[in-house]
Amino acid sequence: MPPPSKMSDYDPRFFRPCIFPMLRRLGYGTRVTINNGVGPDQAEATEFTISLSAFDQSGKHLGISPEITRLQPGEIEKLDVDSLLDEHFGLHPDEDVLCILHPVPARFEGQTSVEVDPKELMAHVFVSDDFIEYHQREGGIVTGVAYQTGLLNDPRSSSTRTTVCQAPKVIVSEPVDTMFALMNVSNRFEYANPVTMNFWILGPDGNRVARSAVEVPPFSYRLVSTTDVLAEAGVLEQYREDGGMGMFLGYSKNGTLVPLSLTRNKVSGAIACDHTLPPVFYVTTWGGEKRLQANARLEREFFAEALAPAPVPVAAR
Amino acid sequence: MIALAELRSKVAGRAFEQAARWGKVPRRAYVHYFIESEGLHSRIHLQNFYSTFWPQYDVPASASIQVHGADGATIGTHEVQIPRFGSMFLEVRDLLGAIGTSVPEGTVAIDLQPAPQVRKDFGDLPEPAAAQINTPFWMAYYDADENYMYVHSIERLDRTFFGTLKPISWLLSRAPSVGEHWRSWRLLDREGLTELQIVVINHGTVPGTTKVGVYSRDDAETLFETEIELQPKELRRVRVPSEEIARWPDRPEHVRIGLDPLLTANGKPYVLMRYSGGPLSIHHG
Repeated sequence: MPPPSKMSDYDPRFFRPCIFPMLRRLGYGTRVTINNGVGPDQAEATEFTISLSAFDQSGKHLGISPEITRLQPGEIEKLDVDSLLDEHFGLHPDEDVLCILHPVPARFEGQTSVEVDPKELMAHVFVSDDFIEYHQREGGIVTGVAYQTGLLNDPRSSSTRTTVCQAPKVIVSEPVDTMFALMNVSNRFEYANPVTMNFWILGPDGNRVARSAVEVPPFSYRLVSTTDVLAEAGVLEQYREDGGMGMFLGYSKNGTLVPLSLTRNKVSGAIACDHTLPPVFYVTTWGGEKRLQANARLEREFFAEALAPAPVPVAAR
Repeated sequence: MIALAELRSKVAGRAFEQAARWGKVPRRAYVHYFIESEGLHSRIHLQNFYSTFWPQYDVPASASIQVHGADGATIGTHEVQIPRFGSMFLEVRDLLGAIGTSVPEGTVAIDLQPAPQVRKDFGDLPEPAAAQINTPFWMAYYDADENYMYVHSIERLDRTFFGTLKPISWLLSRAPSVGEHWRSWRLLDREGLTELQIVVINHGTVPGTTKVGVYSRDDAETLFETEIELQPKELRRVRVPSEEIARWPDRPEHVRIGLDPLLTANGKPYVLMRYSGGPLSIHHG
């Protein structure tokens, strides 16, 4: 689907959003290095005013803060998100929420519907590798991941929305669990589509070890503990004995989910965070009919048998 | 002149399309740093991604792994078959043992070769003249207590193309990757930082010189800087002296890593750091 030359009725609060899950129940605070990566010498340079939204676990929008900072072209700043949540939303320090930082071009300040040039939008999205840093509230663990969240779950940017997640990053041992944080977000506040991801945990030789599914409400995320999924399937001990490593293969056919992997040592609190890679990282022109055909084959092969969404396994602290 | 350029472009485009129909889409290998010292181990994680795109074929793929030492020299190569929907979890120390070395750090580059059945389908790829296939992979770094870090690969072997026709490979590899002035988009907290090492890699095919350093958020203040020269594929782990970190003033509150220039377009460094007695962590700069 070719991009439109202009996007009208566009909410500028999603001009170039920075979207991330909080991990407060697991004992981590969050700091974000956010940038205005289009430098002053570039045509699309603009000053940003930045505000913060929070959504509870059901996806309810808890509100949007007033301006928390401004960034000139090329500037970056590090924000303590826990302090901002306390200041603007008065949340309990253990309450997990989905957050969106909204960098909005200063010329659109105060507006909720504007016309934007997709080229300008993408120029900012392409350089928006904000760093989401998780730090142990008590202890020396400081970790994180950089990624972009562009136009998601918006029919104006793609006619079909599916997610294939292939992540050979499942590590499960006595002290270690690997969780997948699956975010269901959009660039429209009115977005209301829950997305279901069906998934398998595969062994190193491609064998099918455990299957489950999770439904993620709009503007929320779910943490899927692979330890819990394997335990639920009655194969945890065998999986550990076989080396404790494998691939998460997930498929959503009714929407886009943003997957992050979190491999966590439950004793020390050390946590490896990373995003997965979309298909075009592997095959640069992947898409269109070819993608739909492949997804249909993948669905027939792995997910033909219906599986009701399982209770969401959320790792305990 | 324009007509000649258009003609060349059309001829090249047809050659790429024909190559795709013959299953010879150019492939590129991603590269990763490995370390087997400082109490850290490295493990390669790579899945047979062809299965996900072409699940109808019950065939393995073959991972061709090149190992380079810290000095950039090629130490050896190793092949691993990955079953359909399977994954390779390869301890780097086992890889080094298999090729008869025990170097403490270096780089690995991997090209995942598709089975002939998969290659036959390349002609149907969208925009076959523009298609390339990459082998991105992950490196898990971990210590004896199973404290893990994951890093996905971000840079590829420069000017090296696999699986395609020689003229296409020549055409694609003419221009070297060029890096620019770079400052990290991650601000590091100054408080509690006790250890900082910056691994700079020259992924390119020509020697390069760069300034590696630690700077204030606005780049106005240089807290640490050194200039290094690296041969092709050579790496250097630059250790910022701990006593120097301890002497840095409380302001700026945040610091950032920088290279001037990156030695290839996306040749960002790996950064090892430690906070307040916690485990070493490693990430892209």
